[in-house]
Amino acid sequence: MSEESTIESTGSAGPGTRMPTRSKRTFFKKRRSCPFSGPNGLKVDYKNIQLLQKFLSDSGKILPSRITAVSTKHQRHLSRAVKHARFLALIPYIAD
Amino acid sequence: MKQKLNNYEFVCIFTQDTTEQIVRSTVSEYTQKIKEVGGEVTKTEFCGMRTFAYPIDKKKKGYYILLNLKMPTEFVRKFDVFLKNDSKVVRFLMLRVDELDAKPSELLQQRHNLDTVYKAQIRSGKIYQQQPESA
Repeated sequence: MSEESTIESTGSAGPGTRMPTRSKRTFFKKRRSCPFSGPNGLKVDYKNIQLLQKFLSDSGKILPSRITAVSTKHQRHLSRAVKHARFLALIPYIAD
Repeated sequence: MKQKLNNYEFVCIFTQDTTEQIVRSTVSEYTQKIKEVGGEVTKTEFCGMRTFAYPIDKKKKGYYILLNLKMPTEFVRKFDVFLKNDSKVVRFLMLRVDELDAKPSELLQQRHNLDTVYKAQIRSGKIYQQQPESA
């Protein structure tokens, strides 16, 4: 009985001690905004290969917007730009 | 009657067998053609020989040019046919744009400086934005 009570007491003390650690752990991951939106946003351009490549996977696929945080509107523009760049052989259809 | 002019961005790739001189003379030929139909060429860029990301017609390289055009819509079709019959042209892309960019394009800049403008933009604020650490 006495053992149980001690366990309980430590158990009850647990959350109390955990509280500060939890507050430390809950860091705010700042939501990244769309790099193309806003007045200072970048411009989607099919000629700007180095910019496009930031939004492509290593194999040359277009990354989903949930990873790159591009807005839906600009993701549309981006995918079109990538396809134009591919047609002009500026970036590969399939990278090896 | 005044024709309606649209803005076009035109990228064209010539075969690797051509010389710069031939490219320049063909481009001036195009410019002449566009002027004849009442169009206008606002920018001409010779972006030079580039290596393709994948082989086109078993060729590895091509000479890229970029033109900013103002052109009547009806002429686009005719120009397309004309380009398709040109054996020097590997590929071309004609896009209608809202505004023509007068600044040198990325395609031309890449020859000289590798990623400066947009990288600085990204670093300064957008993508790698970090919270200042509070004490």
